[in-house]
Amino acid sequence: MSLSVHVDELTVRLGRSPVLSGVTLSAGAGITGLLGPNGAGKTTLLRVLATVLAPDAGRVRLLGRDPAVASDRLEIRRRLGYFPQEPGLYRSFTAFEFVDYVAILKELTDTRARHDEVRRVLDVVGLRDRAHKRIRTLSGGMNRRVALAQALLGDPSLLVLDEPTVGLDPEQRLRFRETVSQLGANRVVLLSTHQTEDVAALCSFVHVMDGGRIVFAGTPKDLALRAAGCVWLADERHPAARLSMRLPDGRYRHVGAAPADAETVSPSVEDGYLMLLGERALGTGVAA
Amino acid sequence: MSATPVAPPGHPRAAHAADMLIGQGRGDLSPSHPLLVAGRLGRLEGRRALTSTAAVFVVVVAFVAWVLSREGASSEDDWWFAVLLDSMALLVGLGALLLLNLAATRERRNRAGELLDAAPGAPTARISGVLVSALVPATAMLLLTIVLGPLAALVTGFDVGDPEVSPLRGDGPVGLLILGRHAELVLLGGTLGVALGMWVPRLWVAVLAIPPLFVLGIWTGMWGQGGDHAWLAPNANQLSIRSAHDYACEVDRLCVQFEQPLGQFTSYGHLIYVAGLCGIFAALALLRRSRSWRVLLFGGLSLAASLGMGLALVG
Repeated sequence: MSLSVHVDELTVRLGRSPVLSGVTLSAGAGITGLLGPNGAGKTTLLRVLATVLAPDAGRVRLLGRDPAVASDRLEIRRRLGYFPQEPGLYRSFTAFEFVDYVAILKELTDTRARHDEVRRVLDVVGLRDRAHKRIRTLSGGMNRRVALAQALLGDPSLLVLDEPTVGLDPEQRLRFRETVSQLGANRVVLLSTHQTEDVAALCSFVHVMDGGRIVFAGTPKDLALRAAGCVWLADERHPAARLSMRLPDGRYRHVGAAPADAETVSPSVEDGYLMLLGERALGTGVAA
Repeated sequence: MSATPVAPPGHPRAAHAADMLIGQGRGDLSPSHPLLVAGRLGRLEGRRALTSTAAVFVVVVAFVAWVLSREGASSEDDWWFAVLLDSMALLVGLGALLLLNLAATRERRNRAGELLDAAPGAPTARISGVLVSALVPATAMLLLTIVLGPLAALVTGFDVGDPEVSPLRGDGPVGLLILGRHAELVLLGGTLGVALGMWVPRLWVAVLAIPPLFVLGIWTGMWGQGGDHAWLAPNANQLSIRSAHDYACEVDRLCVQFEQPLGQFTSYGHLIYVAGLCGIFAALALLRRSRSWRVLLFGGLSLAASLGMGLALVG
């Protein structure tokens, strides 16, 4: 089974309005990031890639198989881990019970092997000591770790993660990065995130979506270079800057069309994202 | 993502984490049959149902009420016993209905459908899992009923009824059906609860079904203690306390008495009839997510079994 995802001219409509319009995308082994403002169509795209939503038009190949064919879809799901944007967990279950429940659905029917696997993924997300606590008693961040644990069951070849770092504290996010960075070595990981730092730290490739289309595809470095020469420091706030941020030393960091004599600095992925999407990025905050 | 510090690359703990991630590859695991998946889910769901506070509450209340019923025991109050005992049996059935209804609607209440739909186990396997789980509390009720009679006799000091009618003395299906009365109710209530859960949007709507079922249960229970149509009553078989003059107990004492209004043939008929009803409820539940020929055939056969047996017994 090939470690690749190919999407060609994908269209998804909600009623008559298109949510995705002619999206074309490819991803191989490694971590591919997905950025875009709210409503850009990222979650819809990931739902198609997780085989829970059928497209209205276009072709999709996941791990070399066609999810429109029932037998292929089953094979894809056997090698898929999915972390939805709003992972509904059974709140009355313990973390162990819920992950065990999903493990059964993932056809791990041998009880001893399944329980070993459940303990393993709970270990990976650092929840082993809370395994027998009811999910309703766990914090929001821990809930997301339970959701990540179930996605890791069975060592999936394709991992679809929709904003998994929402609600995680900085340390948890760093742990998440550590975990996901290791996952990307031998599987396809598609990661939608609000954190441009996550993209910069984890992703070998990034797609930016806007209005149901892919508007950028390249490396995080390429995205950052979109703002090359557009980020500068100054002692005073510059009125022409798209964004001005006062730094702890009292100076201002500007993003926008830099004046000729500006003291430019290296741009970040966030700067590139801002320059790419302009006011739309600002209007929603720098958001995925 | 635990409280431990993040391991830098090359740190032994980072290597350990990487080892853990390798884990058990899917390549080592062969696909499982959907029925096996449903069976495993059923075991998990059944264990949860059995150990739930509600289930323990129902069993304790039913047993306490049964023991306390001796306080008003006299021949003229017999009908109160009948009502009380039928109520307890129904409490078990209604408890199963509510428990499995909650299990069936859990996915919708927790909005977990999207996450679970991405797994290879089909939605029908999840519904089947809840349906199969009814077997666990039903088996528990069967075992409980087996020990309930001697236990009640011990607690109350009543005589155990005529040993010749004891279901433990090898009457085959007849005896087993006497003991299986509560198990029957658990299976019927449970499968009905799942069917209601799949088609009725809110629990309170399902709760509305309880009063008429309760009245119907009492009525068929009373009706089922005798007569040509006793097989129609799910609770046709009795484990009850009766005054001595009606039964073969010591004079002026009460006894724990197993009653069996059904004969050998009607017992088999009753068994098929109840199994058919459970099958109809199960097919109704599955039809919510699948219109496959297998589900339709299963529902059709269940309907035919119930109706056919009914016609045969009435005839």
